[in-house]
Amino acid sequence: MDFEEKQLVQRVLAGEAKAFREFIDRYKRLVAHIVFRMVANFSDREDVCQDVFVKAYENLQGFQFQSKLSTWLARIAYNTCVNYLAKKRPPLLEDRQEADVTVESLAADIETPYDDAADSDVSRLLHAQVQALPVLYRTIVTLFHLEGMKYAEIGHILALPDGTVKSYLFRARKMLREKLVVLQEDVL
Amino acid sequence: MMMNHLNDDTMQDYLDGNISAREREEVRQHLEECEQCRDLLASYQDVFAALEREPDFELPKNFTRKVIRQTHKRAIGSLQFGLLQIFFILAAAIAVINVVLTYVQVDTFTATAKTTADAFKDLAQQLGVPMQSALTKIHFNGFFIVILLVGFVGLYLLDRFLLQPRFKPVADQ
Repeated sequence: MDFEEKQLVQRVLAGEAKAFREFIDRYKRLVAHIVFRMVANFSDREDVCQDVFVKAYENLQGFQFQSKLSTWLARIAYNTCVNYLAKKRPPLLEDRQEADVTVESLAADIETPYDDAADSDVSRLLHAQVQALPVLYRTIVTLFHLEGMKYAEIGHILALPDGTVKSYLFRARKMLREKLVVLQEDVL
Repeated sequence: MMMNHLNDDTMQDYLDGNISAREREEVRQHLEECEQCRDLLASYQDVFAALEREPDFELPKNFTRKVIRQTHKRAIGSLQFGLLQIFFILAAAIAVINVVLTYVQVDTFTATAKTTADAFKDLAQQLGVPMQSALTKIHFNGFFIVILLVGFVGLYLLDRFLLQPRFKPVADQ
């Protein structure tokens, strides 16, 4: 357990406003990564992010320092998004169980501002396609590539075995690579 | 050493650094010889670059202040805050009763209460509503004061040792 993290938690629990500000500033990027990836509705994203931090604040006393603070907070963020999506969009559960999404079906669902653009920046185009992946896949690729988390850590957040995390990660990247090939053919 | 074409999993493991040094060397040698696998590698490198590109997930500058304001709203709507309100209402009620009892004779007070209760009873009877004589049996004796004091101390202890440590809204500065 990071000593600095422990001190920060203790200061927040002692009611120190500055510490809670530090806490939010330190982790808002992580929370935004998860929430923005999982919640498609622009107007609700900020509210969900706020909700995550309020829940974290209310439950911080129960934090046992058995994992990293970032892992604990990411789990709250993920669960908050799942609850939000379950209320707003019941098919999320299907998303969760959906493991055999074909690239064809994925491509058919993709609607991004870049679809019709003659943008030759492949990285930019692909980046837009990430949002079209099943919610669990895009959460995993985000935690792995943007947060640098390991399979075990991601598995802890999403309540999935390490092997499943790896399998979904590989499948998501394979989907994106196949999409890339299609995009490159379109560009050429 | 000649090896088969690299598959997707091997390529991803290679880019993630999840393979041994020996396997890594084999993959490297194969890539030098195989254009098809080099293309596969290049496309995966593009995918990895896209995934590592920081998205435009910008929260507003006043986000922190909004969160702090939210903690206040939640606290005000919580059970803990409700109990605190009860605590202060009871404390105020006890203070008022004590002040009244200090300046008003108990007999006068009970007589007034009894008259008022009778008035309500008459009114209720006139309205045809059956009413128990509970209102007429009001006796402001020491028993009520003791009950109130015990309640007061009990709520104080509840607030001091159970509620306060759990209920600390962040100060908005």
